[in-house]
Amino acid sequence: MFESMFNPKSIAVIGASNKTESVGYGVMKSLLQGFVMNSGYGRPFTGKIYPVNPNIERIMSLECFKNVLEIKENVDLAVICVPAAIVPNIITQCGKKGIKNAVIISAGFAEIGSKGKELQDKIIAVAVKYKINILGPNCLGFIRPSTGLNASFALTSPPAGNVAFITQSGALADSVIDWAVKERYSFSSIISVGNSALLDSSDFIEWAGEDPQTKVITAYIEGINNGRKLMKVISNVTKKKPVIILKGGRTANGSKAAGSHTASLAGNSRVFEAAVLQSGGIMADTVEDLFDFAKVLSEQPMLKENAIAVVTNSGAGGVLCADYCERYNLKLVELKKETLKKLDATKLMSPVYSRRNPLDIVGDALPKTFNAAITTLIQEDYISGIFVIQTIQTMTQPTADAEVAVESFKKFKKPVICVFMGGKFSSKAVNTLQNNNIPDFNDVKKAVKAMSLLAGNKKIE
Amino acid sequence: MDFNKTEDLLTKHGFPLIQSARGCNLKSLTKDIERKNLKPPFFLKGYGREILHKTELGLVQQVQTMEELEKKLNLMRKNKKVETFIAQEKKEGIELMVGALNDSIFGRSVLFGLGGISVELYHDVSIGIAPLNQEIVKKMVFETKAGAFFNGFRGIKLEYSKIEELLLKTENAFDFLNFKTLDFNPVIFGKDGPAIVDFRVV
Repeated sequence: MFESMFNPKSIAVIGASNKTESVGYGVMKSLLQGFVMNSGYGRPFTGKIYPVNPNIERIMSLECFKNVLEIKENVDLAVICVPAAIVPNIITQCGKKGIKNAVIISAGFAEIGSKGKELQDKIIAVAVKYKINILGPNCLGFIRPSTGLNASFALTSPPAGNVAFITQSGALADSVIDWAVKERYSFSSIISVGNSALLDSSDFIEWAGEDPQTKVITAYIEGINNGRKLMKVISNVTKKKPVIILKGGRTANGSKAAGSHTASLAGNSRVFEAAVLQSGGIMADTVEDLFDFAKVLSEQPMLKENAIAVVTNSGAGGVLCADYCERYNLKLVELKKETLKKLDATKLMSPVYSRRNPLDIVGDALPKTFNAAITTLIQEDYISGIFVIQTIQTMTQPTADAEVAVESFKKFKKPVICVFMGGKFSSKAVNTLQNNNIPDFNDVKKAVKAMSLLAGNKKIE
Repeated sequence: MDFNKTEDLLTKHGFPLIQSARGCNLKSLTKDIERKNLKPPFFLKGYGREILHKTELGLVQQVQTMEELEKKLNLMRKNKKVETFIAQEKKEGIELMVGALNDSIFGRSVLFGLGGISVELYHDVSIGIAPLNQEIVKKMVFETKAGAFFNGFRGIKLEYSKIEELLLKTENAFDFLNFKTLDFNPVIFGKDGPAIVDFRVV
């Protein structure tokens, strides 16, 4: 499905340019080096690149073609960034050339009103005639960090990972990428669907369902035209991997903005939400939740049972965690007498440790105490997952504590979610956790929401 | 479609409409009450195609006797938009709502939640996309706060199988009624099951 679109061997950039402020320049740079601004991520495209522009001879050391028909070799994908009015002609040329995939970045179609809609309909007619897959128009393009292909004019490339992001807003994608670089959220692909003239979010969710590089699928959707198609795709895909949706245009005002944004009507959002949940999808409430959820689901296994234990060196951490667990339908287990005996037998527990769940091992706990507590609890059959909540005192050793959490997760393969509360002096520990696929949050509520997902809850606000 | 025809269709298809009599004036209403052998106390309601919220206009009144019914009906007649009067048997129970919607994006959907004026206040509503099945209905009911009444809440335990039956039946309404939205609100759910007290078809 869409094999030659997302894994092309050759790409023509129609509207390629040397002018630094143009989209055609951005696309060329992104293909040639993997980014416009260097974030440390992004790789050059290894296939053939054919710039197309009738007014220029050479672009960035490459020979420039007057039109696609002049290119002798086979072209898998066309990236189009020319004024809207000539796009129908360009698509016709692509059809004649035998190009089967086009990304139309150009704006000025259905999103601007009836005149633009006419142009868009023309494109659809040509694309159907020549059997061309169309992404867009009015989109940012797509990026596949996992395979090193950046067919967009995004600012830069995000780190490569296993989360696909399909978005109806290109601008949102741009900011998410910048944020992802800083916070190290990573992606298998980012696809900006724009006006979805021919292919819509459902088609790309379906593709991501088949994509071996993708483990979790996220999508930002404002409106769709075919609700039943979305339901069918989500039902099928969620048998293999999670699908998380953030819906824009949920209120009357939001819907108004969405209507003018991508020229598609936002469906009744309550029905939308019901449809996604009924199909097995997950609803996120914020952009941050969308990617936090994706990270957790891509890094941690699901809970075998809804039966959780908390290990903490802070009373407050435990109390807050218990409060949120109730709100987000997580069950804190009661510790059995045998477990307490095992804890006592380690001779590492403080004389005043809580002896109940949340297990408060007291402020002065050292890494060996954390280790004794975590490894004892995680090995109990009746405990399916663990929160480690660490506050930072003078004797606390965050990095060593983080290593304890990492070792337990690796050895026992049960979900471990951490809250290493703090800032500057916890950052090294947080890196250790993140590098080893353990989600860490600075706030207990976020951690509980994440664990709730692993318990199979699908609506978490 | 007019009220009477809709009512007949719903009754024919086994929807539990509350026992009621109707008429466009006191005489025809009284005649219908006698024919159906109904006894006060009643809820007396004034209906009109242009009237959306009856309570605020004084068009929902409790009457204990036939004399009181005459008095209240004469008051309601002052509102020229009132076309039909209905006398309904009073029923004790929890006010719920059941609805159906032909959504422009997702198509046939069924709604369930707390009913009466609480609908607008709490928005305690869940939605199931057709075709429904027992599993979807169960999720719908227990996702709402109203679902608590079917688990047992403050000494009230409503019979779950009856709301399940009504929700599954509501999906069938698409087959014999033509509508964008269909409201059963309130559905008063008592010991003997649900009774549709009011319905609206748009």
